[in-house]
Formats: sequence, structure tokens, C-alpha cells
Amino acid sequence: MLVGSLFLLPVSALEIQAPAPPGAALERMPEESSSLETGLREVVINAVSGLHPDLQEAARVSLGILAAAVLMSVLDAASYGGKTAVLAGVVAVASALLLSTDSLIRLATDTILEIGAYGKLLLPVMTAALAAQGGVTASAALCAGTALFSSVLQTVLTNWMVPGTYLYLALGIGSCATGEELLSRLAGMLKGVLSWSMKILVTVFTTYLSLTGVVSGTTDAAALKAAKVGMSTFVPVVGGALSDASEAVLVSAQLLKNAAGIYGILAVLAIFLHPFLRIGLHYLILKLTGAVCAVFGVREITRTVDAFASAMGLLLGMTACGCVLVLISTVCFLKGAV
Amino acid sequence: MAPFRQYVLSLTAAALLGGILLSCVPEGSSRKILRLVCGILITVTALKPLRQLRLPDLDALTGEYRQQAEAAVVTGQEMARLEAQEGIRNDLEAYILDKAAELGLEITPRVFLDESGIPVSVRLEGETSSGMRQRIQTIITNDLGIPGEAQEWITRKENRP
Repeated sequence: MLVGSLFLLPVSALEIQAPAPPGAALERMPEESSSLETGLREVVINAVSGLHPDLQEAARVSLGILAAAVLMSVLDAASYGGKTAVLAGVVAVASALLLSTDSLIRLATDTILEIGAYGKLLLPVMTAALAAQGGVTASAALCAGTALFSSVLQTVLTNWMVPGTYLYLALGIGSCATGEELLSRLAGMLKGVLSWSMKILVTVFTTYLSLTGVVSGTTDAAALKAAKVGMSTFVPVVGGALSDASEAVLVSAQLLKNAAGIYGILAVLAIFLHPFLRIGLHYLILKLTGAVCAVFGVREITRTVDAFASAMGLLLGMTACGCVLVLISTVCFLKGAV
Repeated sequence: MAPFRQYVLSLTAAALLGGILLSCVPEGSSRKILRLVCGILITVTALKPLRQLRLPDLDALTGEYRQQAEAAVVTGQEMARLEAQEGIRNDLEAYILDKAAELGLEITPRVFLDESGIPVSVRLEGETSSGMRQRIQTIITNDLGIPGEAQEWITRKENRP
């Protein structure tokens, strides 16, 4: 029904148009989307332009953490406080970072869900376009594979990796507060599992797409060739009309598919880039803050800040994973000429 | 994915509990015993759910996506077919018009195609002599493969109220 509703009232029979992205992403779309290069430039500029408030907030939190590090360093130098002071310092830093980290985790989750939802709208359009161009086998395989992997990724990201990030933070804070190596090792293991899961998913997906492209492309080319041979058996005038109409449809479908694909790529980037840059900004500032804290020699606070920075890194990976899946499949549809 | 979430939560809770308990106990034999107990607890928590592990039904999982893909492919093919038919019809009607013009005839052709775009019948509207009608019908039969019985003539006289 979703596929059918996309083509309700065609002006011509071949009406292929990529859907518009939702909400704020629509405002970040370029004026002109016919050229990928120009469109990309505009999307990046629009994504970067709204980062100032995040820079201010990250800098404010960072200064608070540095103040805590300086205080801890002074207390340590005065041999005052001991383990209690360390615990208090870690709790103070964690409290300062938890609120912003929580909002960024929710931002990452929302972005992944938005990209997935947009991908579900774009996929039938690109599938129909490639099928209209003669790539029947390739389009079916690409569509089914992309839908499956996208669904698996969405489920894994939202039901496992996002809670996994919270748990990683809990283990990291616990390890810094108590000094227990067990918690530190578990945090490291969890981070490794989360990172490798994303890498494996993207690797398996790209391998599937590569194999699908080779095998089904050959099948579709053979089918088109057979159809062309069949046309030559008709009377010359009819055969010529069939051949001309077939070529015209292939060219139209190619043009419309390219236009829809480029718009789709720009739309996905419009959804993805701004949140990704926001999280990236916090990540870089936390890394810098951790490096500066290390100068003061307060190991526990440095490790706490590093744990939060690693969590930001995981969020960057997850968001990028969701975006890359849709982008790669769209490019495969664009390349799927027969 | 809820079982996975529960599994990770249980494992992390066990690890946190063990870590906090160990940090509260000073170095000594009691800490070593507690460490052993915590290790056993975490190991049991880690291995217990694996007995209930079941692989998902991949066929059911992929079936839905295959159906969606096939529906989208059919839509694309149908769009291409309709577009091609429009082009074929226009080409053939233009051909008939050209041939009619060579014979000095003014007619309005309407070609009907089958599912695969092959012309099966034609409706011709206009006033002609029977000789000219015969000539244009022969051209249509020879060049377009539409037999005489599939060619319908409508004169303008028949259209008048």
C-alpha cells in the first residue's frame, strides 16, 4: 500500500520522485538538488551553521570539569581527603557530564530512527526506478537486502547498543570511583563488543551488496538482451517502435532514478550531519578536556572524562553506521545500470 | 532483543555489585574469598542464559522484506510498461498519419496495443472513398501486422447526431 500510494496520480506513467526529509532536515536541504557537489556543499554549510550553542555548552561543562580537576589536584598536593575526595571528584564530574550525555544519546537514537524511517520511504522509489530501467533482479535483491539489514541495524542500535552505551558509562564511572580492575575490564569488553558489532554489520552488508550487484546485474543484462532480440522478430515498423519506446523508457528511468537518488543522498545527509557534528563537537572537547586533566595528574577524573569521550565515540559510530547503510544502498541503486 | 537487553543488564548489575562489595572490603583473606564468590556469580550470570539461546527463523524474517521488494519491482515494471505503451502508440499513430497524408487522406487513427505493446487493432476516423480505404488498410496490415478484421472505420457521417 505504501508503494502504491507513491504513484497515485502520475502526470506521465513514469513518475519517480524521492520523498522529502522530515522536519528540521527539510530546512537544511539545498535550494537546488540537481548537482550532488553543489548540494553537498550547501548541506554541510547548513549543518555547521547551527553549532554555536553546542560549542558554548560543551565549553561551559569542560571548564567545570577542569575546575574540579584543579581542586582535586590541590587536595592531593595537600594530602587531604584520600579515597573520599577521589570518589567525590568522580561523582561531581560524572554528574556534570551525565545530563549532556543523556541528551546526546537521545539525539543519536532519534537521528538513527529518522534515517531508518526515511530509508524506508526512499527504498521503494529507488527499487521501482531501477526495475523500470530493466534491473528487475538487482532491484529486488538490493531492496530486500537493504530493508533486512536496516531493520536489523535499527533493532540492534536502539535495543542493544544504546542501552549498552549507558551500561558502558555505568561500568566506567564505577571503575573510576572504586578503582576496581574488574569493572574497567568489563567496560572495555563491552566497548569492544559494541564497536565490533557495528563493523561486522556494515562489512556483511557491503559484501552482500557487492555480490548482489555482480550476480543480478549479469542476470538483468542477459534478460534485456533477450528482449531486444525478441523485438527484432516483429515487422520492421512495429519492431522499430518497440525498440525506440524501450530505449526512451530506459533513458527516462535512468534520469529520474539519478535525480531521485541524488535528492535521497542529500536528504539523508541533511538528517545525519547536524546531529553527527553536535556529538562530534562534544567528543573533541571531552578529549581535549581529558588531555588537560591529565596534566594535573588526577588519574580518576581523567579516566572518567575519557569514559564519557569513548561513549561519545560510540554514538558517533552508531549514527554513522545508520547513515552509511542507507547511503551505500542508494549508491548501489544509482550504479545499478543495466 | 529484550532478552539481550536483560542479559546485559544482569551481567552489568552483577559486575557492579561485585566491584562495589570488593571496594568496601579491606585487603586480606576475606577479600580473596569475596573475590572468588564474585567471580563465580559473574560467571554463572554470564553463562546461564546461553542455555536458552535459540536462533531466529530467518525465512520468516526475510519473507516480509522479499514481498515488499517484489511489490516495488512490480510497480516499477508497470510504470515502465505504461510509459513504453504510450510511446509505441504515439509512434504507430504518427506512422499511419504519415502514410495517410501521402495518399491525401485526412484520418484520425487510434491504435490499441496488447500487454506486451504489440498492436492488435486500430480505429480509424475520417471520410474516404472505398478505394483509398482499401489502400490504407493494406498498408496497415502489411506494415503494422494488424489484420483487416481488426481495423474499424468510423466515418464522420456516423458521428453526426
